[in-house]
Amino acid sequence: MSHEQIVHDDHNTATWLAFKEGNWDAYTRLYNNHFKILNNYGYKFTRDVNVIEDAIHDLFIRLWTNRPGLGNPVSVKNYLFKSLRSIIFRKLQSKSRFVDLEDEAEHNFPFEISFDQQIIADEEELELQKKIKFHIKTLPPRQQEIIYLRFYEGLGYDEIADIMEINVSSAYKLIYKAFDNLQDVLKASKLAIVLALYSCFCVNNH
Amino acid sequence: MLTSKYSNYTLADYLEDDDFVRSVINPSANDGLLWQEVAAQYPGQRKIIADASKIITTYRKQDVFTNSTNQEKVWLKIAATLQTEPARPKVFSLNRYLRVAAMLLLVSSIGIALWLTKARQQEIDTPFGELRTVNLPDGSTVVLNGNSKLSYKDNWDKNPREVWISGEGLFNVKHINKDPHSIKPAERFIVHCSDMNIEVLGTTFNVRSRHNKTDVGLVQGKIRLDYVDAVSAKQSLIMKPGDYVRHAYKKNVTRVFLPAPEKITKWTKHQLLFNDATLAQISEIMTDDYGYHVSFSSPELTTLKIEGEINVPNVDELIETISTTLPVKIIRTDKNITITKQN
Repeated sequence: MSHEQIVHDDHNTATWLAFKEGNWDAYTRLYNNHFKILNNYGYKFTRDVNVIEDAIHDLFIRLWTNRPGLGNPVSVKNYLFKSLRSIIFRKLQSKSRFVDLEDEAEHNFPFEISFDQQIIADEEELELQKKIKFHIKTLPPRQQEIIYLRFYEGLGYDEIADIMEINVSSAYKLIYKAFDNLQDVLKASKLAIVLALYSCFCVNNH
Repeated sequence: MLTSKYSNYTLADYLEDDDFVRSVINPSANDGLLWQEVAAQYPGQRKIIADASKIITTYRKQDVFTNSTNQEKVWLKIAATLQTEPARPKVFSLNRYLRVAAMLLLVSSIGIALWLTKARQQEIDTPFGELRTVNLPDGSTVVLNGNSKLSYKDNWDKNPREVWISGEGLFNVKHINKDPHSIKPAERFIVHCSDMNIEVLGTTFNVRSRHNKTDVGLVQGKIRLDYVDAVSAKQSLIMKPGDYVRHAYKKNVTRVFLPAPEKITKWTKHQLLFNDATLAQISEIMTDDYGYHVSFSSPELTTLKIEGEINVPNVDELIETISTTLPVKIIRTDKNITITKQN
């Protein structure tokens, strides 16, 4: 874990402890420190901003009302991600509550990142972005989510497993599957995402 | 940190290495030195390191949604929800028992406040074979077919008009938008189905959303479909009168044009209307809307088709029509219908 990350988390942990004591300012800080990143994460599951805002509202109401019973999470941010995720899933589920869901486990909730607003001038990088975009889109949502948590949020497998409420070995398995699925798409050798992207580099560089 | 473990690293190994990933995402001075050292010691690693970090940085150049314009608004709402306990800061300097009491009071008053202020959810649920006309808070109406559910909040002021449907309904939406170029949130009307959302501007249209698939037929006006899944080739679709769209979650969309779209609303007059329908299609309607249990003595019977139009007022006449047009025998006991080959 890098230096900055630790500082940030220490800072959050202090805020968390003060919040648990009933410190309203700390609670406000907790909200302001996380509102944007929670929205960004929530937006991957639904484009319905009302659902995200309602979920954040519910999350913070729940935090304040339940705070005497709350533990001290290792990472406050991860804890908030995990809670928001489960609230959003419940909301999305209840929106489609009339549909029989027995065969629609949570792996069917969408997960989508977008590169639409990214303007990249460098041609080589643009080509790489296209490849990444293409391969990511072919993956099932939960595998896309793992890649996001790993390479965007920079989380380890144990942290990803905790947020997604799967065990660590499933997290490993899912990411291998992600590689595997891409392999099918590419009909290339093992760890296809990597090799495909790598070969694209080689071609572009020579 | 030892550099030796990186001597034979592949691109994949770097992407799986927590230290590496973190150093790309959130670099510190030390990190830079470490990778320089690795590259100096194992020159073959230099390019791999560069490539791995390019993959990560390129992936990370993605769109960010911060919703910062609403940060204050959502906070005010949270504060308002919690405001029901007036002397909050003081209470926590009181002794332990009072704290507990205050907590109980806070929790219960929040509960009561939520219950009082929240617009209540209305749920309309029709039995098999029974139609019902629902008047929505804005004056729009929905004719619900049998075995269908409609839910909505009983208070719509300033919020978008939203309903959730499972089953079939004919919507007649009241037009309250004055300026089509600027639609206020409160003027929106959205029908949520399992696999899509339908956005409406004063219109008559039919929705049939069962078994995770949805059929939408537009009689007049204009609506937009927004699919819930990202897989559908198009994210949304504008429908014009006469358009009939069938969609299922993550399945392709079919779109046909109906020469006489008003016919799809016949069920609201208790009319059973079919066009070149197979027995499978007919039995689906009898099962889903009327609660019959239809069984076939052999599966190929389901593909038998009645050419032309059937337009009958009830299930009895429907059975009569089927048994006179097709070479089948139909036995009906209460809600069970058995269709066998005619000898």
